[in-house]
Amino acid sequence: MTAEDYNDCVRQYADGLYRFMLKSTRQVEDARDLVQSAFEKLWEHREEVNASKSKSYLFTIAYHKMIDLGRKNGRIEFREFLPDQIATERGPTPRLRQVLEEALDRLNEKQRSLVMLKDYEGYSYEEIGAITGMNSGQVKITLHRARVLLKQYLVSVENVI
Amino acid sequence: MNINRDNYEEYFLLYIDRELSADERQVLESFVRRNPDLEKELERLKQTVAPPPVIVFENKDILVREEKKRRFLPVYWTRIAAALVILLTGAGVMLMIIPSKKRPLNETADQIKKPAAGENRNQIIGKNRDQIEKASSELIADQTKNKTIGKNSAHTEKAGPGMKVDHTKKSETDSKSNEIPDATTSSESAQKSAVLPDLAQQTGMEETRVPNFESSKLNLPPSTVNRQPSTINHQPSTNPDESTSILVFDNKSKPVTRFFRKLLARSPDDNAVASNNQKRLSVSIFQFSMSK
Repeated sequence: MTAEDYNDCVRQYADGLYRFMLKSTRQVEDARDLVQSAFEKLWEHREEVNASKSKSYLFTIAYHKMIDLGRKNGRIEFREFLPDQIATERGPTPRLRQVLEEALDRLNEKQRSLVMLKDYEGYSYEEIGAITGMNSGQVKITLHRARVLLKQYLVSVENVI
Repeated sequence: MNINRDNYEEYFLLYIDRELSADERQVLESFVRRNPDLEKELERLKQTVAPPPVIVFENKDILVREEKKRRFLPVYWTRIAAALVILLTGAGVMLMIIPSKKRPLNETADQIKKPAAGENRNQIIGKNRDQIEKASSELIADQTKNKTIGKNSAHTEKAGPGMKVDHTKKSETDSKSNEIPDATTSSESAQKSAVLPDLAQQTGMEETRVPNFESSKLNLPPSTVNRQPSTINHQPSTNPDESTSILVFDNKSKPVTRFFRKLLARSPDDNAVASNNQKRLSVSIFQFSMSK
C-alpha cells in the first residue's frame, strides 16, 4: 500500500479502532496509545500489507497489543469505566442502549471483544477468528453465549423496570 | 436448513449475526411467522446487538504520514578539496624525491670517470647478456668442432713439420670442401673477427680455455697469441660489445677457477657477475692488466 492508502486508512479506520480499543480497555490513554502503535506498525509494513487487508491488519495488531497490555497491567477493572464519558461522546441515549452498555460491561474480555467486532465492525465469524486467533466455530460459540447473557440481562432489567 | 422449535435459538443467533444467506433468512422469517410465540424471543435477541457508539479519535493528524523525500548524499566540497590537496602534495613530494635519488648515482658514475662503455654497466650487461648466452651456446658447438680439428691437426703433424705451411693451405681447402671451419687458421679467424668480432673473441677464448691461465700468461706460440682472448689484455673500449669477453674453463682448470672465485669475492660490484653455475662462469665488464 502507498502512503496515500495509509492515510485513507487513518481517515476510515482510526475512529473505529479507537472505539474498539476504548470499549475494550476503558482507558482513554491506553486506547490512544494502542491505536497509534497499530498505525505505526502499519506504516512500517505498508509495502507488505494489501490495502484491502489494512483494516483487519490494524484490528489484529491492536487486539493483540491490548491483550499483552492487559496481561502486563493485570485484569482491567470494567467498573472503572466512566459511563458519563460515553454519554458525553454519544449524547443522550435511550434507556435500552444504556442498559445494553451495562450488559456489555458484564461480559468477559473475549466475549466483549467478539461482540464489538461483530456489531461495531460487522466482521464475519471467520474474520473475527483471524483477528483474535480463534477458529470460526469458537467464535460462533463464544458469541452465542455472550448474546444469551446480554439477553438475560436485558430481560432482567426490563422486569425490574 | 431444517429449523424447528428445538433448534431455532441457534438459527436466531445466526440470523442476528448476519451469518445466514438470503434464502436461509427467508426460511427463518417464514418459520417465525408460523410460530408467533417465538417472535418476541427473536426481538429480544435483536436487542443484544450493540449499535456502534459515536467515538472519534481526536487529532488524527498525528497518525497521518508522508513519504520522506529521498535524500541525496550531500557533497562535501571541503572534504573533496582536502583530499585533492593531500594527493597533489603527495605527488609533488614524490616528484621531488625521485630525481634526488637518481642524482647521486650519476654523480658517482662521473666521479669514477669510467670509460663511456663502462658508465652504464648494467645496461651493457643487459644488452650483452643475450649475446653472451648466444655466444656460449655457439662455443659449446665449437668445442665439438675443435675436437675434430684437433684430430685433424694431430693427423697432419704426423706428416712432418715441413708440411706445416702446406697444412694450412690444405686445411683451407679441406675446410672449404668439408665446409668445416678451421679455427686454427689465422686468416679465417681474422675474417670471422671482422664479421663477428665478438664471436671471434669468444672463439679465441674458447681455444684458450686451455686450461691453465698461467700458461697463457707466459709464453704462448704466436698463433695462440693471436687467438688470445681480449680479456687478458683487454683495453678499455668505447664499444660495449668489445668490453665483454667470455672465458670458458673445464673442470681441470682449478687454479683459474679459484682465481676468479677470489676475484669475484673481492669484487665490490655484484653486477660484475652475470651468471654463475657449476661449469660456466660469466663475468661482464671485467678488466685487469697483466704485470709486465
